[in-house]
Amino acid sequence: MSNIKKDYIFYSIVIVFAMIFLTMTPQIKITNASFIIGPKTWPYTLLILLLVLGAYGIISSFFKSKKIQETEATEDNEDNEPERRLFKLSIPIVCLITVILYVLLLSVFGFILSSLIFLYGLSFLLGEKKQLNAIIFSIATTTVFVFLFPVLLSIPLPRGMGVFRHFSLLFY
Amino acid sequence: MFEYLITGLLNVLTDPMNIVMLLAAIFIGYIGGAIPGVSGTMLVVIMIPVTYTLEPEAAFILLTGIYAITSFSGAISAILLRTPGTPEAVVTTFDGYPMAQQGNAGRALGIAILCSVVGGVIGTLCLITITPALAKIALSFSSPEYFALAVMGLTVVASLSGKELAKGLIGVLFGLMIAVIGMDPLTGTLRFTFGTTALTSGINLIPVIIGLFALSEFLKKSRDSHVVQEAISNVQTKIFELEIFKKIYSTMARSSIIGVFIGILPGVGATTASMLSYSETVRWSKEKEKATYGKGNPKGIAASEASNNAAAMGTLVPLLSLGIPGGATAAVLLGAFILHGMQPGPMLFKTEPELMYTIFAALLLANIAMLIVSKPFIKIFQRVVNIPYYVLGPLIVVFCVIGTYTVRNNYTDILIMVLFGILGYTLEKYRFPLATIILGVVLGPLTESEFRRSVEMANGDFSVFFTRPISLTLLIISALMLFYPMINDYFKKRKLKNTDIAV
Repeated sequence: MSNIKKDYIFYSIVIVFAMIFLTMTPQIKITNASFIIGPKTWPYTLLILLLVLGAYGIISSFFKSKKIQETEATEDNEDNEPERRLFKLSIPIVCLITVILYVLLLSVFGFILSSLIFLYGLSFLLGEKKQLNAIIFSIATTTVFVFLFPVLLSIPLPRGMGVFRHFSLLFY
Repeated sequence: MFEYLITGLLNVLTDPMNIVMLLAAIFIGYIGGAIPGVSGTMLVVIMIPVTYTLEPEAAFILLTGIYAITSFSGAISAILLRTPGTPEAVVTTFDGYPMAQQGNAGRALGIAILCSVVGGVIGTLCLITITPALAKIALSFSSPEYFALAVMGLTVVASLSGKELAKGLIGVLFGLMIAVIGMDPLTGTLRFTFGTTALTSGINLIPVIIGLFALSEFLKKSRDSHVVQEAISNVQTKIFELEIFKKIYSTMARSSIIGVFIGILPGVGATTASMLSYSETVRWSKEKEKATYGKGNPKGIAASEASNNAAAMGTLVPLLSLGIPGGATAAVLLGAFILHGMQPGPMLFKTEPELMYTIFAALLLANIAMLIVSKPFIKIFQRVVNIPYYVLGPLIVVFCVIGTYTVRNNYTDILIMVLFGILGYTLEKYRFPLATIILGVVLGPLTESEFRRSVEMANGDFSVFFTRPISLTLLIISALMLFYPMINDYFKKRKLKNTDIAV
């Protein structure tokens, strides 16, 4: 995608965002009317400024595109780079999916089990070639984290639900 | 002032916890800064959760100490790997790496250490003298002045966004909008909470910072995770050599002073300072010498390292005296202060003078400690520098999750963090300056409430901001700062046009 196209998309999203929130602003219920400036003024100001900047962005992109016109050879380098892919997806996307899975697992399995799975899986996806190393890495890291945060610094970590909650209570 | 400083020094040196934190800061700062892929900002971000249960003194010794040390440690990989460990060490690669290639890696590291220490100490001394004076002036401020100050803080956007000012402004406004979510501090009205109780107290700053800075950075870096570079090994660091010192002392002094002043200017950080010092050093050199820059000239390393360390300390001046973050890391530090229930600014000097001077003392000690511990540390970290990303990446993510969760033991915060991580990663593809959002979120509550309070104070008269001399001056400075890049651009283009016509 060319930079100009990206800019069009970006500024359009800004305008849509501002519009959605502008329609929501009148719904703010005023609970205390004794103030000269109520709670609506500030969001209105910000959203109108966002709208103006979004429109400015679209107009300036339009003029820029006219200036460049058909010389679209200046495509982004990053898009042309040959990328390493996994399951037909780019690495950042695979990583993102892994992170989302980890976060979802956290609420059910708690910190210890989900971190063991996540650390093993992600290090493998990111290029660790030896299975054993990935396993040792995940166990060692989880141990250090559990020792450092809940045990040493008394900082609580997610415990998970049901049986996993009881399991976590054995450690912290 | 000296009494407080001595108390501060004693606080650091007599409390075992503070000593441990100072040593931890040095240690973590060295490892983190030396590893490419972990910037000083990210390191401070992921260390914030560790400080939750600590006393404020110990917490800020750790955070500001890490910040001070990473200003130097980025140079280690810049010299040995040609990959700056932190962005501010970019300029160090220009002459550091060629020098290392010529077999003088030890000498290059030595120059970097010496200049970082000198730059850092000069920077800290300026910080100690200028900050309280500035805070004293700011004590007479009332709401309109605070609003003007916050606006001035927001205009840092101009320098954070480079050529994309419109996007930067959108970022700030977006950040300010995020700060609006939750309960209105003045009337208690709920705003944009979508009927959920999770948003009643607003979107917490920490998940936003961690998502935008750490998680998105992890996603970006995962792309080139398979690239492993060879570092230059077997290095004997030589910190002080009279022959080299004679060559670089003037560069070192000049660059330190340039660094401090650039650092104090809000928004212009250590990276700009080192670039500017480098070009100044080249300009001041003799014609014959100019050709040697970029090929291993010791003065090149001296200029970069002295100024980036001095600037890092300078950046703390507006943060601690006025509560205005001068750059991304300072914004994160501001977030950490708020997390510990404090608002940096003139009042903090009045209410917590001991804490302030303890931080100053710790910074001074951290900078001096570099001279002593660098040599053994570099020996150890030569191996650490090359940690593969399949080890580093997962660790960063776990730190992000723990850091977010522990703010208020809230699972929703983790989801918000991931959301902002995705947002940050996507926005970077649109060449969007992420730090501007943080600026908006951090300064949002202050800006809005002081604006409303000022108008209340003046009984609805909006001219209150322009009739008070200090507030007017600050607003004029803000406007100048915001439009300076545009004005500068215009004059440059005009000059170019004129020379074209002349030719």
